[in-house]
Amino acid sequence: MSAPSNSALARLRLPAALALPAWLKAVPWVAALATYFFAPQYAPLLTQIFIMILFAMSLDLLVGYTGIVSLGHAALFGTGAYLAGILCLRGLTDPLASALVAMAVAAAVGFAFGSLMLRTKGLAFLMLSVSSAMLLYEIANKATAITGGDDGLQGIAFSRVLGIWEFDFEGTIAFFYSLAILFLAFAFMQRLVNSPFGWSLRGIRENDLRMKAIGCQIYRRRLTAYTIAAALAGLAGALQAQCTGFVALNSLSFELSGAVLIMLIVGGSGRLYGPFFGVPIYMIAQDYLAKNDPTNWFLWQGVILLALVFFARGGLLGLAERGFLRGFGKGTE
Amino acid sequence: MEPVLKLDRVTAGYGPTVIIEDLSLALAAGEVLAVLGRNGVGKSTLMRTITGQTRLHSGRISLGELAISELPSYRRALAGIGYVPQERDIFTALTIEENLKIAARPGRWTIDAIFDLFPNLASRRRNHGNEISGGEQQMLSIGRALVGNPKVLLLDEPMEGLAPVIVEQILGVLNTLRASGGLVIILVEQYALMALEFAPRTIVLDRGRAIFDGKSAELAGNAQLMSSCLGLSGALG
Repeated sequence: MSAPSNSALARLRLPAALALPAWLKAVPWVAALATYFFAPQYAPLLTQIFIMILFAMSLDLLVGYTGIVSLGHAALFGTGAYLAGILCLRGLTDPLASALVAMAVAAAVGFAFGSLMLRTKGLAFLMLSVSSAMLLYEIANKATAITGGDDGLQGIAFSRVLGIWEFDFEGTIAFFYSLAILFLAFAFMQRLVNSPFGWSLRGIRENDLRMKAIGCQIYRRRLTAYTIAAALAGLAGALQAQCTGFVALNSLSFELSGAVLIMLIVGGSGRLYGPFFGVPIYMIAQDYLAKNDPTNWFLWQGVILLALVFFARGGLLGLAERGFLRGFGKGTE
Repeated sequence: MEPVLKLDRVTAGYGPTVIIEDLSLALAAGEVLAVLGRNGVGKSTLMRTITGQTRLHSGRISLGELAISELPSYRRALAGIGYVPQERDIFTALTIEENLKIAARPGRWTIDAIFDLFPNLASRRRNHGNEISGGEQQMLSIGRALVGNPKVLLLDEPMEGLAPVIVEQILGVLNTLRASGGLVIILVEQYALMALEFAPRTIVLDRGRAIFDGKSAELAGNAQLMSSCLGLSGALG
């Protein structure tokens, strides 16, 4: 789906002269490692955060860079999760090999769905994206012999990472394994969005008619972006299965598709680092409110979203950028 | 000489609405054409028809030997149609350099050649599209069309809303392009006098039809023609 106009979004970006120093880019990674060393008991939560960051990053390639808003991204996450789980139960227990297979299959599923869905735009695409996730959800629900149905896939035990490190009860190996995969995926995304292909995606998001007029085949580019996003979502799903040893129907649910979109919006889409802020804040808030005010969690979620829409367009990073620009006493308008 | 761009009895518009009617044109390599006419007569629609952004009701458009009437707009661009739209349509999320790189195709017009042509752009290559002036955006729009190394360059009111000093600069570049030869240039312009001076050949449109197609000097020197075609009083020459 093409965004109607993203010029306002583009105007929020820092001018070239005010580009952030390179060392700031290391902050999220250092913070992640520091949190583990100072509070190792949070390793499982941090692992979940890394997985969701990867998942949100894959959605960002669609929403933030290409202007395709999907409400069915969990279809691809769930595909990766179920595939890794099923393969493990049938003998493919090597984490890296199963992650690669899950990525490839999720990419193939993304390509197949995308080939049909990307022929539509706007509301039609949104509805098809929801339908694709619901379709896979129902298949997983009914195929109990393979997927475990409503009970999910249980008894998943992956072998050692690289044949050396065994997944432990404290979640230490899962923490470093998911952090390493996230880092590699992030490096790939960074390279991708700053390549001519990535620029063309931003061009499509901003003005697809103009991109056609300079010789760009929009459908093919959007489909490529969708397939890459599917592969990354599948990788996140596979990580989820490997790190938790369990795959539930929830991994294909509409709720998960909505939640990851909210996480992306909270952090700021089209910014690469948006999920690094949106995901932890959402998950920590969810964790805190679910404990302290479980009946009103969705109410608070609504309040947070309303506040973001009215006061922080562009998410938290957009808000930070505006504050930074004000601090320097100049705007970009 | 074999025409580079040929329109044969083209009727086109938006949906069922016809804007351009029964228009024929043939332009040889290096030929420069001005398209004049009052507001709303179909000048921009003609440009969009050539680029494939309108509905072609009848007729045929060809680029050299290639029939492009049925091709989608991206295929026409790849075949050699370069378009500088009236709205400029710079990608504001991209830097000047990125705007050029996504449109670049092999040929004479490299990104460095564009920076030589527009030194303003070279000095601001890392600025985003929304951090440059209207004149620089126009230069970028022309540069972006040129790096695609087109055979035909369509310019839709490139001087609109620009300061006189920028108009001079862009006119200088257009003169360089014209002098370089080989490139077919079609210029839609509201400033009739400037266009007549720039292009040796002019067509005047009225309600989608060509009511004059001939030498610009002939039109400029004939007060009656100028008056009937453009509503301007008096000859220029």
